Amino acid sequence: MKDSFNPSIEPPKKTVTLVSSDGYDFEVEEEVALESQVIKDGFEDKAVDDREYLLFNVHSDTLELIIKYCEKHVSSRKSISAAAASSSSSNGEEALKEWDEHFISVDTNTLYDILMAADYLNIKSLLDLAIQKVADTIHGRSPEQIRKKFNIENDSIIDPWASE
Amino acid sequence: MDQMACLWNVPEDISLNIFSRLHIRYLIRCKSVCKSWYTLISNPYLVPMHLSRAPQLRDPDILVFVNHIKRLETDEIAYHIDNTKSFTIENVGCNDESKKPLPVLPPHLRSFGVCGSCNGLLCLGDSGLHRPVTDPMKIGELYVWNPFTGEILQLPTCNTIGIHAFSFGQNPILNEYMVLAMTKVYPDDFGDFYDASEDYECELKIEMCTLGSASWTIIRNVPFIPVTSHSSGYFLLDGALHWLARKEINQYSVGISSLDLGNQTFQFTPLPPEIAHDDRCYHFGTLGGCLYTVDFDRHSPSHIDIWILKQFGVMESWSKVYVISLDEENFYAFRPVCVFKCGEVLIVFNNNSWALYDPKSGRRREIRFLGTGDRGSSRQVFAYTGTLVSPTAMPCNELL
Repeated sequence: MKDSFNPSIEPPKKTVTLVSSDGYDFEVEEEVALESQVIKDGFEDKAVDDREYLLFNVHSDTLELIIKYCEKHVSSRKSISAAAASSSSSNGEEALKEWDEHFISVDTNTLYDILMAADYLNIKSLLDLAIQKVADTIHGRSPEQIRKKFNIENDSIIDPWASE
Repeated sequence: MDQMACLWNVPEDISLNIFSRLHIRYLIRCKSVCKSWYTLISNPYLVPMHLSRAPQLRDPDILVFVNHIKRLETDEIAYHIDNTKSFTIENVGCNDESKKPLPVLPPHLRSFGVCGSCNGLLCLGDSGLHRPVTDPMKIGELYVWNPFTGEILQLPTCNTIGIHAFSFGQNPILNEYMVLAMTKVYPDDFGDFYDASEDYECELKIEMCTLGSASWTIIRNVPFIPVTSHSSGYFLLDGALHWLARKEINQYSVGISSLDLGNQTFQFTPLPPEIAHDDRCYHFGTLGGCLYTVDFDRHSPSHIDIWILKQFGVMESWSKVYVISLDEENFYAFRPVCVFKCGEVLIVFNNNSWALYDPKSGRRREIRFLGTGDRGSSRQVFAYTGTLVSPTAMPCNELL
């Protein structure tokens, strides 16, 4: 761990290959892939030259976003702990929160894909972010507006008494 | 149509997680989106999930229970009381206040007042307000109501004569909701007439009815010396009942008496020595999960101090947390309602004035709500977080 303070003697980054449901390969750094609890579980048991994961439930469009999220969180965590070690003040956590908010401001279909992928890959912080976004989207809307927003068919048997 | 966008296709645990984050008003509204959402929101697991998450996610609403009193023309002593104008105020702590109506009670309960509130449930009863109509010693019916789900439970009648207060709350250890009834029991040689300004010693009989049980049980009698000229309430907190009382007769030894409902031990915590003398005025209650007492000079108040008891039973743990300066000439009936996440404290005073006090700047910002100033009405104001908790189906709390 001491070596990490000196980048010049850091060993070359190990990578992992993630394969999307539509057949695209994504080569990512090991620590980025390990943001997924599913990949982390049993990672050590896998041979080093066999670190390829077929993600049957994640489309390349979504996987690209997921990787972007994980990379950002890995690098932010490093700079936050570096700032803490040198006891310099940092607004890293605030900045990351803002970045998250911007990241999750997507259309409903993309939000759905991120939600399902975060659940499938078990990335807790991303799942939590997506779930809160869905809750925020529902908040304040009438049942009719919710149906439209989430593309839900109206099979309701209840009077929409609450449609203020 | 892109089926992928149908959010009811997400796994059930995720759906429940989403619903558990909604404000009760929108959660109930979501029941009419589609059949599958209706089924999900009726899942008993959602009740404790929503209950525990709601206070973490947002500040409580302010519930204003309005009892509009009209004297009937046909009868000189009878009143007509109507609480259909009750409402909640949402987003107070966010400076984005909005007033929303409270669902209306069934007609036969529209003359009831609130005896207490806990976890989204309201206990409704014959408040002192309309006692003139009935026998002053007779206690009417008691109900526990969840305004947002509409569920209501009638409690068995307590047959004790002369109950002077009720308290409603939860015993967190047993996860039970209960109503407590307090009755003063005078010694045998006590005359029929007594001077309320004199000190007197009696006992307090405490009876309990757990939601779902068919009868009332006597917990025990405890010694009781009332604090004369101060109205004080009874508060259930952390499995114990608390009230303001004196320790010894003819001494100004005011403090908080407590009865632990579990092991039934009785305890007395004196008020801080700085404020326990005769020309002070107190108000006592719960604020942010702690007991507080408010202290100010009865004759010429220039500031109000709010003391909080940090560790129960330890007099030394009283600490003066807020000092609110006053510029009003007439200032009365002061009460803190709740502390918001931003640190501001909502206070009510002079019966119908509201303000947010910011302890950082020491400033007070008045807030006004249209329609709250009706004459001839009494208002009960408290912090309220709406939940799915059912007064009739208690076991769902044990599911998690």
